[in-house]
Amino acid sequence: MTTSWTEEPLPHNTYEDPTHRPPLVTGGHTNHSITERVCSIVENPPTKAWYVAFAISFSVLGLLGLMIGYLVITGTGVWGVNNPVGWGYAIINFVFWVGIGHAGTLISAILFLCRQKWRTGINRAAEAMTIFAVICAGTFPGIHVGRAWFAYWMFPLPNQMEMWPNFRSPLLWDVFAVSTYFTISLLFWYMGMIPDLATLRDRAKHPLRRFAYGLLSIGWSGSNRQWHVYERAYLILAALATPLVLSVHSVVSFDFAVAQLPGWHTTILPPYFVAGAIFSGFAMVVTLLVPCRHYFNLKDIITMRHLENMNKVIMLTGMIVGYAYATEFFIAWYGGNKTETFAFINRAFGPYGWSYWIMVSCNVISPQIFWFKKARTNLVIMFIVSIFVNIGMWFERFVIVISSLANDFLPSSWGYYRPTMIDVGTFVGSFGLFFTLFLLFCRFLPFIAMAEVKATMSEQRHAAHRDGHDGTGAPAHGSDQSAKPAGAAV
Amino acid sequence: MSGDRKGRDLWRSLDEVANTPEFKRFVEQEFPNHAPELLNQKSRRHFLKVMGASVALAGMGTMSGCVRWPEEKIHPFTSRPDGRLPGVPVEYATSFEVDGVARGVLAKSFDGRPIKIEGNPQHPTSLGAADSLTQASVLGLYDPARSRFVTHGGEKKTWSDVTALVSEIQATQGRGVHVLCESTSSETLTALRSELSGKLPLLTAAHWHVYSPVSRDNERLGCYHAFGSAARPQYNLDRTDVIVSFDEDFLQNHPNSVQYTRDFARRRRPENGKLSRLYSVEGNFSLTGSNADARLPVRPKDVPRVLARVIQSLSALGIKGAPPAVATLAGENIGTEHDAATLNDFVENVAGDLIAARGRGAVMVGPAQPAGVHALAAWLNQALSNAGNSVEYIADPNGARIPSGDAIDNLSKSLAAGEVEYLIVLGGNPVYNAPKGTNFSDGLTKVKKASIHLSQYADETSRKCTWHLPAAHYLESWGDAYAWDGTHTVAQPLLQAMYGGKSLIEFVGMLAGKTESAHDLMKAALTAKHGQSFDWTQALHDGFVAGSAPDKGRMTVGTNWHGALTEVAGRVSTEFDVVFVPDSSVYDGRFSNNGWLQEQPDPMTKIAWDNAALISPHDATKLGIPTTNAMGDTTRPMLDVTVAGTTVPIVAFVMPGIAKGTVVLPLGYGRALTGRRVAGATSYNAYDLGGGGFDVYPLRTSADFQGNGVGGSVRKGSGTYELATTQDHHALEEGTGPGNVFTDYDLDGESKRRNRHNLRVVDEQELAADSDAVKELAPHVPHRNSLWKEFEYKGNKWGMTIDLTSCTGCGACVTACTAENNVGVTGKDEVAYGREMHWIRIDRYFQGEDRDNPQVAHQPVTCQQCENAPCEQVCPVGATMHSAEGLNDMVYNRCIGTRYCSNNCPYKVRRFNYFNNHRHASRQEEMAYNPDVTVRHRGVMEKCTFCVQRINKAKIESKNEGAKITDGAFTTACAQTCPAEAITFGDLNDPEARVTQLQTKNNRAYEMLEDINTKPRLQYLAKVRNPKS
Repeated sequence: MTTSWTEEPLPHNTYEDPTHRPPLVTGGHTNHSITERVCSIVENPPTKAWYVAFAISFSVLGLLGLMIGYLVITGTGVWGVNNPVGWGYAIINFVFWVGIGHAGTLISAILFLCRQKWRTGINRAAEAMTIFAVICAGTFPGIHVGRAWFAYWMFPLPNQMEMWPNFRSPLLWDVFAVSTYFTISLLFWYMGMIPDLATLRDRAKHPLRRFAYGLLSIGWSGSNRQWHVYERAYLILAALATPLVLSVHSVVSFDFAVAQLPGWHTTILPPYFVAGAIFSGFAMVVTLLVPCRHYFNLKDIITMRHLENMNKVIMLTGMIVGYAYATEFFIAWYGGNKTETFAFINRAFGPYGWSYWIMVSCNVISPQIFWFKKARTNLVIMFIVSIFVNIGMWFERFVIVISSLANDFLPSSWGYYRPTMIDVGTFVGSFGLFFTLFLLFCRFLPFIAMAEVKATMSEQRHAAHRDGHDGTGAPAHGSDQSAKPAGAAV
Repeated sequence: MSGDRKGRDLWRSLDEVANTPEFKRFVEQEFPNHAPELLNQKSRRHFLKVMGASVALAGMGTMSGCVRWPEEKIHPFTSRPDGRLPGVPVEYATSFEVDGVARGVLAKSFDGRPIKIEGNPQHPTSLGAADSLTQASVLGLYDPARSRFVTHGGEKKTWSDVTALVSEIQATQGRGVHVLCESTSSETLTALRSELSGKLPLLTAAHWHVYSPVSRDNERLGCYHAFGSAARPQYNLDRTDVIVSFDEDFLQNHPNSVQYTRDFARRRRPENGKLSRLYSVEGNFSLTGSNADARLPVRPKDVPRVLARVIQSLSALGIKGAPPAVATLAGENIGTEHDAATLNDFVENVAGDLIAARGRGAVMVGPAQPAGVHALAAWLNQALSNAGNSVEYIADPNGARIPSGDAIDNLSKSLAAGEVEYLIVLGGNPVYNAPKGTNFSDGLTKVKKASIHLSQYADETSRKCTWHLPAAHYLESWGDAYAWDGTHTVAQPLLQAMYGGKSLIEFVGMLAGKTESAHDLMKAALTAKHGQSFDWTQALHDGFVAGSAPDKGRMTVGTNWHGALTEVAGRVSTEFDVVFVPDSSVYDGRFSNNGWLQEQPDPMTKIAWDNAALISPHDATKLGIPTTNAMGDTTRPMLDVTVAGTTVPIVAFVMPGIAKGTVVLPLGYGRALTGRRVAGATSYNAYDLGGGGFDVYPLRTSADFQGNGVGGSVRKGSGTYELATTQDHHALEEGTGPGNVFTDYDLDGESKRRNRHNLRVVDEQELAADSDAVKELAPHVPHRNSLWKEFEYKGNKWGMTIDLTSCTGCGACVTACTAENNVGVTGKDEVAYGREMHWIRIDRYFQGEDRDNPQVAHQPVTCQQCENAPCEQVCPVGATMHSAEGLNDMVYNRCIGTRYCSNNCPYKVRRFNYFNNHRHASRQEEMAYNPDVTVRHRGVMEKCTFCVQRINKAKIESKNEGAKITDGAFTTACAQTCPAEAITFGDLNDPEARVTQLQTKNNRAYEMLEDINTKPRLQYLAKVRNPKS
């Protein structure tokens, strides 16, 4: 804790040596030291920094509550939405948060299926981020409707009038897509946490803690049979979650793609949205983990290699997004539809052109610096770029939602959208919700998937002593439930 | 309502009524009588009777303890009056008089509450249509800011105090009594005035002043000069081929605009034969100018010069005998706005058309032009044989009165000289609107004994007068007046005066010592006027005295007018010509507190809630004012307009089409006292909702009343002011900017024709040469095939067409819709933010290369009721659904307000209640709601329903009668009131229906945004212009 967050122990584990796989955990850790390191975050009393951060986040969450209360009491008119711009910050924020909520499940499910072992260091925090981002996202559709007290009508609830929602509406698909995604993500996150929760239970000194973690770890004993069932279930959930990663943002994009509006009505939106979501999700993971690994002393577990890998993904998805922007323009021209051509010219050079260029500079230009390894492995640069990407992706949604609505088919109906302080307050407030939940997560749940990290360590050791015998694979501490027995299926 | 309830004419609950001794006695008696019978259980009938009473009384007992519903006022009838069915509206014919001209109207009354004003279909100048001001007048009835009490020096008094005051006045024999009356053509008042001269013999005609800030005195005087007697021109526009309007806005600022619009529009349908051609020469960009086929914007002072040049051209074509002043005028320089060639072409075209259409032309001159010019027009119409054919004249029903400007001058002189002991101001608001230089307000303080103001509002004048008497609204009064064509039109009350006000007739009757009721006075006056054969009941039923319009005589133009014309010559224009026009919403200021009118955008500028100084882009550039605003920027710079030493700061609005060197100032705004809470009234005030505008009366001098024009200077002022416009920009203006993408929307992209996928405009010659000219403007439509079998409409299938050639853009449909459908008033800030609630709007597009003289097209847009409705499929809760009759129904109960439907509507006709838009409405104004239409709460989307309540009413009636609904048996509110008959509504499943004929057979019919395959059930008929080729 004495070094600054920008300092990094050298040499990195980012070398690409075909003869020798770089270790995913550095610092000569044993299974026990991993347990100690991770559990200490939860078990030691919170630091002053945590209290300060929590106080700020919680206050901002209070702001969100005030904003929502004022909104519901007064009317949607407190926001800047108008005619023709019926959707404003609320929908932008919704898409923004859902997008952020993409990285977690992608890391835990798709990278798991692809046997990307480096995911183990970051998947727990990323999944937590996913859950909280989806919670933030879920707030908005509920409050953005004119009569928030009837928002539940969007669910297909059986009723005596036999009245059902309109299954043709993309908003309804959204309800299903997001709620399914949330459910699966939550299950996946929780299930993956069970062995680590059991470790915490076993180490807990206070009966209340023991009880709480005991309840959460639902009787995990670390038996071979349990590990076997657990691994199977994890695999199945990963397989279930994988299509959801792609579907949820595709469905979110249908809100726009299915509509008539020039600028919305394009078939490119689903892949473009998914790429953008992964892009923003990874950026948010980087934003969160760069400080966290410092403050929680996890630089050995979330190593530079992890960060570099994420930066590579950011660069790739950033280029996909940039390609999508270009394709949209090309098709708008090539398609010969004048309203669509206009919509795109207007996007870049119309009244909201400034937002378009913020988006392009943040999303397309800023990640290009990651072509350089020096930049990829520089904490300051990656942190700044990740913030840029977060900003850029928020503006991408702003551009899509606002510029298309403000200037559509009939010039007589064109309008201008200007957010109010309530809009801004609600948006800022949603960060309060997010960080409050995230800080609570840091304090009470294992930040790192200990069991999975240890599994990669044992593999490393096996690899290092390919011909030798296994002397260190056994649990170093009798109560360490998260240490997988040797030979357990991965 | 009132009576023996101890002064309490309204009661809050049944408990309150139950405290009366009668009721207590009833309760005491009722039970002892019936209880034994109940115990005996003799009959089921008795049992039910007693049970009913018990339940009712039990309910009453618990009501005070457990109130769950808002308490309501109930006025039960003990017996139902004849001909009255609860919940069935009744229509009464009555009349609405503005500045001495009556508009025949039908007032729809619902359970005793007038809720809607419509045109009287039998009245010759209305024919069922009504303009915005007339329709919105019903809201004025319920205005909570109306005064309720007689006041004297600010203290509350009663009408019996007024009786004492009247006796005091009567005792003077009229010495020192002056009356200032609004223009009126009431025959009853004329009769009363002769009675009054018996009571007050010294109140001579010279002491009876008639003043209105907006008048047509110059026209009357001009006719007087020309014919030797005061007359009114009557244009038979349905028989006119060439109309040349010199500063005359006959489509809007004219008392007969409704009839003129109808007649004009009938000649603007290519299917009916050759179109008429409209030329317009004006300084303002009026609604008439926007409908002109050719328009020449010139300074108002140059208008007679253009007329003179036309006459000079005509003299070469054989029209001789013009007085020498014409040559002088024609020789005068006409600004520098137009090059000689443009000017000559215009003049030659007008002259050529006029000579070709001898007897079928009309030369009109506007009321702001001096009398001499009107006389010249009368001469020209006679010389062209138009007089007696397309232009006729009738004697002015009240022709002898002194022009308003002189009348107020005379009174002001008397006031200043201290000759006035009693001043009785009957209506009007002279303190606010008297011309500058009369110092009327100061003079008022010199009235020796009492100044009395009879007015609906305790306004600026009331505050300066010693007495204020509340006046009755026209829907509360008996009255009569002449329509523009001289039809004697009668007014009858629909309800008792809500606030105890008295009508003009009642108060003058009081002065004259009459004890008869207004009804009797009016009946006597009308009988005296129309002879014994006069049928009072029939006149009340019809709303006018049938056949009372005078014969349109042919009058002969003399030569006495030459002098008046000579005065017109040699006028010098100063830096700016200042034009005062009555505002499209508040008129002369009298409708300031009317929310419907304030919310309704001006048809040309689209400004709501304010007025602004309108200047041309050319002058704006010269003054250093930006000609365009950034998207969403509602602030505009201020100007300082100076006339004769008085400077008024007013916001600038750059309006293409205003003549260079002209500044147009709409009257009627900036009223400091409007709608302030009157003692005891719990009111909202329209200005609480923003706006207010600028008072420009301080700039108006008596010279302006005589049409001599006011010169002034305009400077860039300091600061900015926010203006709420419903169309942010000069939409579709040619030139640079993103809107330009839309300018050429045809397939080859080469055509210079101004065609767009939403608005199609062709010239008559093009359409004549190629009957598919409109179809050829269609965008590329890939296919119109459906993937599934489309729904078959077995019953009715409602559809609409809007004829863009007929539509003049007046906005009467917007008011009709507001009144019919309880459309909320949102206020200035909300309008500025694009949250106005109008279900039908009129899109105004500028066209043409010349920013200082563009053409305009008006396009009413309402829900297109698409077959493939984009709104329907995106609503997650199914709150907007397709009906079996093809309507896109809105289910307000089900709507949760996602606004997705509005986003997906390509026509942007859906309106969302961002707030409770009825929160401003007072209890009184709530009475103006149409009970057949749900009042939407906040958070709910709404839109045009094709007046589904009217559809259902017609269906129920047809079902009861067992007959099919005949075409035209009912129509939507907008179609009903459209003076231009531009809107046709009907059943598309009826092959004979007019709407079906138009949609299937008319070669101008097209769908807006046809290419996105929404298959709208509303079609437009393309706009056809008729320029001289």
